Amino acid sequence: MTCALRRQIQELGESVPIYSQEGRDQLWRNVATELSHRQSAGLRQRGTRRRAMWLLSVVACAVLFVIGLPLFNHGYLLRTQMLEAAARSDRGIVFSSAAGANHTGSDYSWVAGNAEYDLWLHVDGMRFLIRHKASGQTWSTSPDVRDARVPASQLGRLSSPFSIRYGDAMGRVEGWANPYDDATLIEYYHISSGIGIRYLFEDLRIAVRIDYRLGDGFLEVRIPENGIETYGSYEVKAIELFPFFQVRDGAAGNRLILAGSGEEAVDAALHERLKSQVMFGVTGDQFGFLAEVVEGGEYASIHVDPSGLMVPAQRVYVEFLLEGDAAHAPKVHPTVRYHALVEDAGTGSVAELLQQHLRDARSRSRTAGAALVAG
Amino acid sequence: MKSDELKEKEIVVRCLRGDQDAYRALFDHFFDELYRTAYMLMKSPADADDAVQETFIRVFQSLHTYDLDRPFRPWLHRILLNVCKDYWKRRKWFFIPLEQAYNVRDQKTPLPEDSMLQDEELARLAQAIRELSPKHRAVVVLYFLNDMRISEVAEVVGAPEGTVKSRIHHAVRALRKRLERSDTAVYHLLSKRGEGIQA
Repeated sequence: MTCALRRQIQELGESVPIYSQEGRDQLWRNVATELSHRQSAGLRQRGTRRRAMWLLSVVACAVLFVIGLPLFNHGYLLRTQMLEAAARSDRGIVFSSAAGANHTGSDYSWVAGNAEYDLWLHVDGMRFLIRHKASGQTWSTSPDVRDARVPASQLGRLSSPFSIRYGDAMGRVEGWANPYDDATLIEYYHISSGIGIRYLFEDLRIAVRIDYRLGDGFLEVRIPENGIETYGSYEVKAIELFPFFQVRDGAAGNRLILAGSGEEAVDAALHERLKSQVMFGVTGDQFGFLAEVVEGGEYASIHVDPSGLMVPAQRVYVEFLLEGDAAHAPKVHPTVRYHALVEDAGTGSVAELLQQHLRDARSRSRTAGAALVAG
Repeated sequence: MKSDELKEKEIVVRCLRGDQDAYRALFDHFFDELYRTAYMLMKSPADADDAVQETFIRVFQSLHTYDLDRPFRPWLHRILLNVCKDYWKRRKWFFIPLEQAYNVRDQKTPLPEDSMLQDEELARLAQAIRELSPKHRAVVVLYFLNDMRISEVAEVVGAPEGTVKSRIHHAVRALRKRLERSDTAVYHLLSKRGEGIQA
């Protein structure tokens, strides 16, 4: 059956009328024409596709840029530079406890350095040390709480690099928060000659970014653009930076502020008048610093606290008001430089820095003519 | 390798080198075989024309993808079969009144079926083959008409050889049944066309 079927089917195939040469030529022309048409259409399509892909990639780049730039500015893209990474970047410099403070090297990570100074960060992300290489002298942004004789309620403020005053828009709720007392997520990112830290207050849903940069003889602390983010119902009304900078238990010294004409800085009534002042500091025989508010001075308020029962330390620090006019001010980036007074923390060094500051301030068209007030 | 296969490969290689004449040579070499196959697979001569043209276009477009180490015929027939499948999908329902078909056809070129109908037995066979399912029709045409080996048929239809054998077996059985009972059916079918076929 199969052979017969094969024969029959082949016969059937033979009986299929095949085109004449003329018909076949016609079919060939059809094929060639259609092929040519499709090839040119394909080329056009490829060109269109290529243009579409190019356009798409441009749009994608633009979208990435639009999305990525704020993320980058907010430090999201740099979060991988965590403290561990910072620790790995330690170039083998071991912090010496003999340098002048009671700190152990293992608690600190080297962050940045230049010819004269090194900047170190404590593993808890709260405290910095500036170390003068030649003398070994150090400046601490907050005292070592282990040795501080302060009430437990003050430990948070004492240990934190800053505190914020927050509240709701209606003014019904107001309070203080700092990274030590409140649940805070700390993230690190690299910046040139320093480190950036983002403190996210998880309960308040407030994030504060601060850039710490080591300059030529100073530590610059700056709240960058969009450095304060609020995700909840609270807003930041004020921030005080390094409220215990270089405070030492029992140490004597002079608190300096750039004030009007010789009034006592410790006078509480003077506080209101000090709001526009942009320079403050502490001097002593062997230690001292002079802080300069480089940006945001118009919203700065200098606080001078004498040693007391609650906080047995003489201190002077800056607070920036971020509510009222400041909330609507365009691009205020509070920036403070903490100049280290090396060895000679006396009047000479202070005067020199002050002169320099006044020259800079004059060039910035700020009001000068202030006097040095010793408290 | 057979001399035919060598010749086919040679033409393909010339095509791949950009020889324009080789394209026409390839067309001429395979036209009859493809046309017969398409004619048996499709249900109208016009569709067979279209299928063959489309097959050659696709072949020329994708010739660069052909693996020279493999036989060319199965590759070619596979493309034809894919083209036919596309047609089947597009035309699940196919019906042209015969009167219209006769009217549109040039009288000088007789309908191919006319010549087939001259042989009643072949006409019955053609009808029976067209009534097979597409899968069975494909293996029957490839295996019996084109005289392909089972392995080649398997390559064309993309199925294992065992499956192809099974399909051929079932297709032959179905054909036998149809041919046995088609004595009267074919008569009625053809007499409807008014051909006056003698039973």
